[in-house]
Amino acid sequence: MKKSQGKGNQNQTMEDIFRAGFDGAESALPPRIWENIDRVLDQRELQRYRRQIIWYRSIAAACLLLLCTTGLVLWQIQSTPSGVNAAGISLALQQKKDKDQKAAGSNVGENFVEKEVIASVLEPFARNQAQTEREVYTKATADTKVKSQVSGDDVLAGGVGQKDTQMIGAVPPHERIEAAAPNSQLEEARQIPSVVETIFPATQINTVLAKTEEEKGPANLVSPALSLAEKMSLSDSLLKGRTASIVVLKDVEPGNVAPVPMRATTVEKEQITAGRWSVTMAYAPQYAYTPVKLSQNQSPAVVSATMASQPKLQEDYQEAIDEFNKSYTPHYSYNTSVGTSYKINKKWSLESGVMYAQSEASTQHSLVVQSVDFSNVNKISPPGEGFDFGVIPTKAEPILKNNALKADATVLNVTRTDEYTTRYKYQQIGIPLRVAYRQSLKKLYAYMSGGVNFNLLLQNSIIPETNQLEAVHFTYKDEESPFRSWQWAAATSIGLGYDFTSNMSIVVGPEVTYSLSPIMKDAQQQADNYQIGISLGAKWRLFK
Amino acid sequence: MLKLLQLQDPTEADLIKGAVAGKRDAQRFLYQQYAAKMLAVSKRYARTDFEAEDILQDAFIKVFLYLKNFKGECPIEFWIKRIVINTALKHQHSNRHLIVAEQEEWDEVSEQDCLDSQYGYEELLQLVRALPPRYQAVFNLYAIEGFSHKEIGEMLDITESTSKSQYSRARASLRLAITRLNSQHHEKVTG
Repeated sequence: MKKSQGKGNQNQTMEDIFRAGFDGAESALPPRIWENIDRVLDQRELQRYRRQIIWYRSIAAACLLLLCTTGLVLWQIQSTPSGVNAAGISLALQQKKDKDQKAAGSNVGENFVEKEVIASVLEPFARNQAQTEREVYTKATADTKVKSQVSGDDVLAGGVGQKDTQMIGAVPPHERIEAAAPNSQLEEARQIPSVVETIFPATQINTVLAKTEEEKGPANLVSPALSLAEKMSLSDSLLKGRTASIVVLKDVEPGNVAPVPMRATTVEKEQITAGRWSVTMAYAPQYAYTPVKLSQNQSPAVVSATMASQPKLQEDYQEAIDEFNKSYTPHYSYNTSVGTSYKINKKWSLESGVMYAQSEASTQHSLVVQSVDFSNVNKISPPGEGFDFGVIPTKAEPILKNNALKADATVLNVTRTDEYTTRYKYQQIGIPLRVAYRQSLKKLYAYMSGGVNFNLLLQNSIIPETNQLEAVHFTYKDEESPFRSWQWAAATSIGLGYDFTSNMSIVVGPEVTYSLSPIMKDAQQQADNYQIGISLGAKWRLFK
Repeated sequence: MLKLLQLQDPTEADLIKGAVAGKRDAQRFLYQQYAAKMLAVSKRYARTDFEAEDILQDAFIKVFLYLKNFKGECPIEFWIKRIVINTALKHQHSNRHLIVAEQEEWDEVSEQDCLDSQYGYEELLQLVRALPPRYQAVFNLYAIEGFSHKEIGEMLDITESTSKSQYSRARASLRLAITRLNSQHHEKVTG
């Protein structure tokens, strides 16, 4: 700063006159200035609020998804045999007891059957047995026969015939009660064992045994007849709706037990193979750092030639590039995917599917770079005076275009203007291919995955918030686009997963994607770009 | 309502803190405290009062957006004034293609000629605004704000010698204008 040159009130220098005249000067403020400032600040606040809202909404959506998934899982857990609803059984027993009281003096045989049925139904619950279909074996002896057919009121104990033979009583209580009511269904149920016997001779049935632990003995074995029929590929023809029946096998002679797995080899193999496949879904809000770094020293030949005589223009252009490079700010970005996973073994799996990614960013500018018709410049503009004339309406990408592509017949005009923001939006779809590894710790497991994404840039938008430039939208079809349509990226993720059930799990963890190919067609212009996000995912096994 | 309003006499630090937090009344307090002075500053760089108001508006928006970067190393008035000047220079630069430079022949006036007149703010303002835009900026920055030619060269993206020559021409132009005003004033008094 320079010192004052004042010399006194008289014989002042000119600087003194002006300095004294302007010193402490104030001007009356029109109220509209503050009103305008207030309005602009409100708009800025609103924009900031909107950006925050997007984040909050995404987080809320993720939480909602998580809650829904958790709810679904909990519902499934409650529906599984281990979570049998004892209240349903109690209700059924109570109803049965009421009926029994009405039918006083009923024969001993029926009472005997009733007790057996209740005992046999409750026993698996008490022992918390979960018999899968693969575990079902049947046993028979020559003199074993279906001694008691339980139907009607007897079914109230919860022994409603189920296609899923995991456990008797897996049907919700209201269904059990319903099953007991209609007489027509009960009649059907009564017929089933005889039908089974008709189609399969007693000897054949006898060879098919329910797998019962030897120590438990064959007595009180409850075997859903319908499941048996289903196992024998008769389910389609024999089963009708919720037809109920419980077959109590008794008096099995241990010596005659000959357990034979029912079509175990073929069925199991099919099921195991099918069980390797899972459906996966993932959502990952991201910090996407995908700047297009423009080189300071690289300009197209035509531009350079023109700029040689325009050092000021060149300086402004370099400044514009500098602004572009330095002011890059990423905004809310995300990717989401749906796919399948194939389990190679307990630890390794392959994952693939379809992915959609959207990343946004902005830059701040105080210079407008415009294209000028090169053929008209020399005619109109006097040498050394810049390109104040002949400026044509231009689009927002001249910096990118002139750096990334051949300049052809364009040169630049750079003008200073009020600060403005340019927004960038990249929309991609892709095919991820990953290998995943998991290390189980009971239900919790650590996972790690890595692979590549093969992406197609669907659309790129450059939207300047100034009326001096037009917005530009490039699609993958545009040959003029300075952006590559197809891109490769390496992706890796590490995190934690939790198996809610044997069929469903969720995973949470950071995810990093690094672009292997540059965004720009000119590889020299592209800095390293990457995305860091938190991936929230869920996985459903297709079959058990 | 804000705590700020409950304070009898909010300090400058309170105002700044409130404005940084986005409290609108704190921002309004700051604006009311400095805007009148800053409008006078922006008028010196602008060609018209409307342009000066635009400059002031843009400058105060920047002030409120970047106030969090203010470290308190200098009085806030200087900091705001610097923003107003920079904004005015940007305005001038962006509008340069709209202004046709006036090529005048300057009467060389001796450096030794001293002036003994006193003029009001408005008269001086009109004299400064009559200068070509570049000269106006250089004169304001050097003579009024006290920047060196080297600093002016960096601010306006011109060389130091260009700044000196433009200042010299601006000074000569103003001296001529003041001399004319003096003679007009003398004629009114005598005649």
